[in-house]
Amino acid sequence: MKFKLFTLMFAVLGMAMTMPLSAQAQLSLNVNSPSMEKMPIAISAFYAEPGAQSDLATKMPGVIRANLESSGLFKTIDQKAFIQPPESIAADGPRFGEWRAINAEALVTGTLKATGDGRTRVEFRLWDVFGQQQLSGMAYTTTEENWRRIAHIISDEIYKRVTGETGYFDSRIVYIAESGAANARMKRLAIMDQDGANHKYLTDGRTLVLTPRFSPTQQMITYMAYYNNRPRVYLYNIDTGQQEVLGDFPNMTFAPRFSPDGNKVVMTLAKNGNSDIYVMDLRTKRTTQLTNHTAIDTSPSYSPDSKKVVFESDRGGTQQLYVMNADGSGAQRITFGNGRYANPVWSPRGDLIAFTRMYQGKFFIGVVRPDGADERLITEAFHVEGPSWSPNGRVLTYFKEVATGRANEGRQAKLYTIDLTGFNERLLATPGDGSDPAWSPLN
Amino acid sequence: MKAPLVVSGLFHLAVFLIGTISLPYLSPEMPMPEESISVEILDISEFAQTNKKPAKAEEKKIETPKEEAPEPPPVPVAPKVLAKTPPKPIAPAPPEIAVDAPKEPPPKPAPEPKVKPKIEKKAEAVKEPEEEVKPEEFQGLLRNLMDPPQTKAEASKTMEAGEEPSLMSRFASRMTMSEMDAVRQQLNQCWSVLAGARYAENLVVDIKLFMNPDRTVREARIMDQMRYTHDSYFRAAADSALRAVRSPQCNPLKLPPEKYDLWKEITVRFDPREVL
Repeated sequence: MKFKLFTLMFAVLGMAMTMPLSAQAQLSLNVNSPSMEKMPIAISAFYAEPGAQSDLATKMPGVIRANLESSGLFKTIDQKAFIQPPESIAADGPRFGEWRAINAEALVTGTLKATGDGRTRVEFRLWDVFGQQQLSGMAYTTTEENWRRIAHIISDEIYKRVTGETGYFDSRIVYIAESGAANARMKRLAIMDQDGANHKYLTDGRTLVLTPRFSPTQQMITYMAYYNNRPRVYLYNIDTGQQEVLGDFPNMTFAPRFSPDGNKVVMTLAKNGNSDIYVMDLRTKRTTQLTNHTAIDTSPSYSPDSKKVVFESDRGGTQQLYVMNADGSGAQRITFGNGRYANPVWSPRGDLIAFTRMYQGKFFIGVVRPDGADERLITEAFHVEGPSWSPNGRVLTYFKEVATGRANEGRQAKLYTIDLTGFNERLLATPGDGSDPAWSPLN
Repeated sequence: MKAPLVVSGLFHLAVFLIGTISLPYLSPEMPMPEESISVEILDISEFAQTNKKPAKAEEKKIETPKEEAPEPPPVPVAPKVLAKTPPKPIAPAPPEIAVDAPKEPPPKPAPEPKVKPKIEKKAEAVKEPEEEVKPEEFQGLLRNLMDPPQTKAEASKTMEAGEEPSLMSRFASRMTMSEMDAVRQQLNQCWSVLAGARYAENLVVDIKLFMNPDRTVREARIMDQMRYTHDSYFRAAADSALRAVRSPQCNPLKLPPEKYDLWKEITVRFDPREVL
């Protein structure tokens, strides 16, 4: 009996002894005020093995650097600060201490090898300098003329690994290239890489073209053209150059836009002075009317899940944005601000709708959540219009027009891109004036 | 024969009772004086300075231990290290093939650079071998803690992400508010997120830090490994948190050196919701 008591006492004592140990509690902290700084990244020149195209060793990192820098999320470190040369990286791997010393958080390295068949093999790696490990690595074998595209693909890979989102560098932008006097503007359909390279014209300028829109799934454009002074919606296959009229409607059709699966085109049809929204199935060519209202309904754009359509309408007295179900039911107004709202475009990532707003004599590009919350105006100008999303929904492109000449008689229109945060607005270089840009899906 | 045993037993019981009843009242004697001095007399900036000096001193020391390159054991938590090794692999990868770090088996050169830094850190850690063992002891305890921190922090965001239940802390010294603020502030400065991230509301990352006595981070572990592997948005957010705790500006952390027992393991919640 006593013995039991005795053991019990010791057991209790033992527990008591261990208590203070567990009292050494683990510290926990809540950190919630990060800075929004750009990520410092070092992009080393690639190492070209003997026999490989040596100029690509600097040209490719150059394109990658420009891409990442243009995203507004990265700060590329000046190459003059680099200590370790490419051949040393290729032979021994990165010496992280040296890269840390120049404050690089990430490092991009690459190697070029000539393959026997005249092609080049490009290997790249993305390194976490603090963690001293590889984050990503890819290898491509390609012909030499493809080097830009490979550089874009590598940029996308880096972007994806660092941000978690798909990139947008391997994509193109189609737009209306404008030239000539204000009263005799020539408007041609033109296409270029998202960074302005590989520019070319798709139409000859004899026909007025407007509102090009990319298919979200394939290299196909829909646009409006005044052929024989009759406005029609056309389809243009970029790869084959083939064009076709999209339905031969007796009335005016405009504001065409593809559905997310690329199988339908939603557009506006003007009948007897009233505009309503219609959708056409590209496979069956069957047309369905979505809105039927005495007001003007136009500029439809699908949500990425195809369940909703956003459009502009003046049914409430002023021109505002509405969201309805894809079958045309349940239209609900989502904007209530002063002025007029136009050209809504649903972001491919679904969380925002971009629009143009005319207010107090100025034009703005803004974004709003699909339920109407959190409206933000991210850029303004005398005339700014036609927002189009990058394939990942992170960046918008649009055009700005300014008056030129002594009596403001002239017009100059340029393309711009902007991050959805509203910072980092950049001019997109084009040979001449440009308007109505439309971003392609990833190639 | 039995009598002495009983006496001894009673005596032990008495000691225990005295301990449990009166110790809490006596405990202020412990490191409390230090606390009150550091909290009330110093402001954060001064406090930070006092910390910096010791940090440098210790860093110098590091060099000597480095050569010993003795203790591989201190690395109780190895998984990360393995993941890091794969760097330099791919030489003969086929065209168009994604070569993820994990996939690559034949590590070349990069492992070496890694090992060195590791050893340095370990060497520092080596100073007090006993402590190396403790993290493991705590792991069992930590598993229990993994859930609470989440709910706890959500419930009392405004409060200090504070320590463990206060009844426990009666037995130990505590981190003061200003000490914790100093670390928090330092981590905020090291942490940067990329603007406009999607799903920012779900990108809260919990990281567990295993600290060296010299206040540098020995290892940082993402608590939600599952999500890290499968959710690229979360992985990007977690990587930014990892960069913060590994950044040179956050090593060493501004922690009170004498309270190593309190911070040898730290759970940090990186919560970007307010800014994104």
